[in-house]
Amino acid sequence: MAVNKAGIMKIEDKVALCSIKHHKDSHIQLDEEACKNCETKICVISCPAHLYTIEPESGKLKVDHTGCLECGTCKIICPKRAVTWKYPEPGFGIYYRYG
Amino acid sequence: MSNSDELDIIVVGAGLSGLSCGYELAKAGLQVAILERGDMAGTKNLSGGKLYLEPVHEFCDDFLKDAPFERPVVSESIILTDESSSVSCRLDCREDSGFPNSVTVLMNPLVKHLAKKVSEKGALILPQQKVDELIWKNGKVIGVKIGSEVLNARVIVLADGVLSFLAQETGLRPEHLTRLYGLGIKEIIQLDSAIIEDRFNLPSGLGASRMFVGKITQGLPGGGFIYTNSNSLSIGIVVHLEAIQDWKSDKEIWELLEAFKSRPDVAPLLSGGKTVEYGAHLIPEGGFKNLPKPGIPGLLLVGDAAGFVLNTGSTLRGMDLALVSGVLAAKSIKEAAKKNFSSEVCLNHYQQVLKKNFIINQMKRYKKASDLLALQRLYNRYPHRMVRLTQEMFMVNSEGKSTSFGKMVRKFIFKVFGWRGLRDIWRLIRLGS
Repeated sequence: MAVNKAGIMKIEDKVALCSIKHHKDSHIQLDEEACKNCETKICVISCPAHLYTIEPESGKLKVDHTGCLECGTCKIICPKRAVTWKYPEPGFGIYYRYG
Repeated sequence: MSNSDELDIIVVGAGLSGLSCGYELAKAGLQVAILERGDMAGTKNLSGGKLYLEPVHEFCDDFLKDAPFERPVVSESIILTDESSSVSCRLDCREDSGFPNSVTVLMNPLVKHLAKKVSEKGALILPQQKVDELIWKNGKVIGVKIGSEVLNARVIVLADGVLSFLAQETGLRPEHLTRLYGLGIKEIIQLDSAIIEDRFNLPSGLGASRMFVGKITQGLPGGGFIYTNSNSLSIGIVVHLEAIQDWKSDKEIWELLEAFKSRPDVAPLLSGGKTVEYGAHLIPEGGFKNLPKPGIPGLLLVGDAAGFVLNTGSTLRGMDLALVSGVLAAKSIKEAAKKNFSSEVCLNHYQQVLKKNFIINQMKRYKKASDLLALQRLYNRYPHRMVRLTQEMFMVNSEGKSTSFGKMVRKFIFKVFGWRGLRDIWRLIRLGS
């Protein structure tokens, strides 16, 4: 749901500014069964990097770990406890240059 | 494993609390290894960007000497926001006390600098070390496991931040619950230093802090901030996680920051600036009532991992508590070292010094803050009405009339707040007294 109004940045562009070295294996795993039965999809709303999206055709929830800011919000906020979230492996993940 | 392989202390996490702890320990000649999961110290840290120096002065004077702070804060304001208008209360302090109460900071350069100081004192900082689990023996923590490798130490200090999976493993911290956390989202916007000083009405080299409450969080408990760095602005919002869970909106949380940036009363401050980084981090906001025990035999908790954050409504402090708790933990460990690293001496001493110093007593003093600050009316009703009333105060109508002072006061009491509101104000005033 990127906004294109003048002066407003798209979230994808903001995340692209970050220095992130992503591992080929995701550090975020979803319990697909639990997600399928979840009505809140609170992860979609609350992820500050907009990594959670629902595939239009299948209605399936997916997560793109490559832009993860490592805040941990999705893990804590998921009412179904369906998010398994670990720190990325050493040498990978976000590198805050300013912080 | 023989005793010679055993370190005196392992600190998990090279953030502010881990480093201040490591510094004190290394200075005392103890053998310290600090394990950091990032590529180097400072790369996984994110803060709002305002550090209160006054409380850490006594503990970290030498440690923070020559630290690369951005700007000493001389201009503070709280801004109540409506849809597009705002009312602000601003303090421009031009007295030179010689020592700033707070400074703006960027975590990466600050932590990097501090890590260097800690290394110079003889502590070993090992980057790219993600601790997977703790090693126990007879109910005591005796080491850490990194992959298949085991490192033993007489004391383990957990300075592994807000999520502290390791503190959870010990059972000291409960399962992650939304009511114990706030979410901070922040951007760094690069801007010429002269432009910053011009826009924020600042003397050369000095800084401003702007806190925003009201419409910017769409009525969710939380607020926004702008801090001036040397050549950039930190702009962000903090929202309580439990409130996001119940949030009825078609927006996503990141859009709040974009809406904040594009407000007509904020956008001119950022104009021409270039966003260079975006980040998000959780904040432990459980307050005093949810503080875990600060350790178990063989292990101490410091900083965010211990839940040391103080939210008073007008200040949100974590970094000063992190620095001081690290120093206090080091003192306790030094005390225990005299008694063959007795884990009982260590933990008892730590609990006592925490109580004696401001961390626990200030958090206790503000123990009611988290309930009060969760009231949604503080974020939608009152700011909105304050903006309206202030607008009226400055207005002259077509009949040439303006509102009398007496009427304004009556409206302020009965319309803006009402009895319940007056009670809320009373409770806010009483916080911390």
